[in-house]
Amino acid sequence: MPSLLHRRRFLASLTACGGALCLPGRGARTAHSAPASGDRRYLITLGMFGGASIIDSFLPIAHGESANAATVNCFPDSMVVQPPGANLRTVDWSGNNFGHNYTSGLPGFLAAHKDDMLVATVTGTSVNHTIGQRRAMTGNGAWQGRTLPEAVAAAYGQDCPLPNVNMSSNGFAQNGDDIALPGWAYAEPVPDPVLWPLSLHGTRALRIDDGAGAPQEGPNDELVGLARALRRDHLDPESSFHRTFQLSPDLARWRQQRDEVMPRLEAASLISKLNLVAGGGVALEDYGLTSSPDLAAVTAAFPRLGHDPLHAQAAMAYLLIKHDIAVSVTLGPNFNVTAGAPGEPPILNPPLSFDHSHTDHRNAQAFMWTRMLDVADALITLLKTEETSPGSGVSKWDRTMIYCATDFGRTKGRTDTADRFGTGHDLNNGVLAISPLLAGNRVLGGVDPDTGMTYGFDPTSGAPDPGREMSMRDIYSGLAEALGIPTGLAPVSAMTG
Amino acid sequence: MRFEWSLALGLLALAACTGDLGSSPPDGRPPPGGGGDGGDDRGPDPDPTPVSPKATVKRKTGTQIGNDLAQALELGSDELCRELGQEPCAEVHAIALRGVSAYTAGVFEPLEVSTATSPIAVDRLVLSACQTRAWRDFESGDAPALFGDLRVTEGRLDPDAPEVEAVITELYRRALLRDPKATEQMHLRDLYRHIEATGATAPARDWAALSCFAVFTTLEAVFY
Repeated sequence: MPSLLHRRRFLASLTACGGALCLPGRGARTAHSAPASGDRRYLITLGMFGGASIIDSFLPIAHGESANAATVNCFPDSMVVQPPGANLRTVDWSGNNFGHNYTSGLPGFLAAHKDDMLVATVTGTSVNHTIGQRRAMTGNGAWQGRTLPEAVAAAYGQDCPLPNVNMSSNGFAQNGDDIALPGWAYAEPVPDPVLWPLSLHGTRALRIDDGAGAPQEGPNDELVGLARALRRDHLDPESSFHRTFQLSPDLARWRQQRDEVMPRLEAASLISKLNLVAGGGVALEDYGLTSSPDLAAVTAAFPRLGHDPLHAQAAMAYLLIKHDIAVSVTLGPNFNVTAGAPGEPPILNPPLSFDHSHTDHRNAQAFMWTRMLDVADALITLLKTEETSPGSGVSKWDRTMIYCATDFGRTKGRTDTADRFGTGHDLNNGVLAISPLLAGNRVLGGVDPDTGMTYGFDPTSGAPDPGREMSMRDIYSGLAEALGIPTGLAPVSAMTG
Repeated sequence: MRFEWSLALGLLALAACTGDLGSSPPDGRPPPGGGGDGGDDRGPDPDPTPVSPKATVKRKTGTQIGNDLAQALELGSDELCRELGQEPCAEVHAIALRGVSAYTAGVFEPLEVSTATSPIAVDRLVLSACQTRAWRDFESGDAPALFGDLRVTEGRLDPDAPEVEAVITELYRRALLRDPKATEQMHLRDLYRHIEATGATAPARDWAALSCFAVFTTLEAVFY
């Protein structure tokens, strides 16, 4: 996860903020004031790791529609379904994943969320996983290289403790390139959402023992505060080291984070509010901890959070948005296999996630789409129960977008009407976004049934245009517009209505 | 002749580097007229240290901080901070501490800049190690490693006692590889007075842990 906030970027950030360090709670942070919490918008980026194919989800081709059904990735007519009232179609493909028979969740998801679902075709620019993922986040550098999560954090997160939290990996986890991005809008990386809350307090849950397991008391928070004040007010500023390197932006950033951000994170008791540890082999009371008061709710929604990283990430994403700790959260699986617990499917996440399509395209796509949309469905259900402010009647979901970002599409071919075949990487694809902020229940663009290749649409009217390819910049522009972020990019108003 | 000159210059340089430490009085007080870092016993004075226009610093990784703590505080690597008694803190917070997590989190390159939780991770790592060292030296009955020379009566000590000055000097030598300035000696002795004033039941032990914590989490200790 390379960070691009080197000194030049940092100084530019300072300049953009009127010379003040841009961190939560500071005065001068962006050119515009913070929106009221009711106007705040939220972005959940689901990293569809490995190449989620749109023609295997919400832009499918039926055999009867294609002149080349034997050699193009299309489905038996009976498996292409369109729930009542839906303008989108999907695939009802239930198969076998590593010895476990699964049932497609796509028809149910479409029926439940069609009004918020927008499919837009796109042609990417790289078939390298890391680069494709990164470009899905930045719209291929559409807006000075600022990722969409960074853009949302900068627009709406200035009063949040950690505006931009990123639990994903590889290219989805990389910072953008915009040197003018306020320092506080960069992503806070979360490698393990279960243990991460422990990094939100400097002294809690630290226990030493006598070597035989008996806990020993250490200095209380008041005394630690004395030591921190000494460090801040005397030891650091009076040291020759500090004098020598006083112009270092790294030191300035550290002092700001340590002396201003850390006390706010600690005061908010996030170490307990976000604690997903239920106990198990750990006696939380021995560490002065309690589980999150929301643990029962998130466990009901994400029952595998103890052993499935995706469920743990989703639970954390909900808590971060519920408590207005973040406005932008990014999550998703990576290349790793996740094994099921006893009584569960043996493999919860296939190796390489969507990229397992190299070996078994159809099952990898159907299984992974179902897995990801199950998480999306649970998040939507939870966010619908949370109001943006008490009595507002506006739910958090009303102000949230789920962006299914992916690396690239998949090659469209197969042989002899095979149901089991492998695919490679292909630039041609489409994206799914889900939000009340979008022009839902709509497909923008289309697919040529004889080739499996998608084509574009008119950016204003949304009319299909077989002669056009939509760029990642177009998608970025439309999503940003729906999120109320003025970018100055060529508008794609068809995505917002 | 050239060899003799080189030898003489080398010895002179060596003396300049080590002379202050070697000429300290037996009681540990810095010699009159200044210590190795420009300090003396006449209180604050203008710091002649030049300001670096480039100001290039590098942040230690969690592994480096852990190694420093283990060596300086004479702790085994398995005795350093463990989250919930299980996972090593330096591994749990590896990304925030300029590390990577290639296999589990798919993060292949370290962050160039600190994140909001980086200083918290450092505080946790250091506080745990310093508490462990203080507890061992005060309570365990094992041979003390750092704070054993303190004369403690009913949990208290005399911050003006020479052994306190010696302990502070030893702490700085272990943590920062230099002697403390007179002002730093004064600040750490004042820290004890503040701790005792709160009514703490074991102010000497708490001071030992927190003086260690304060010094090991300074910018000078975390960056290089």
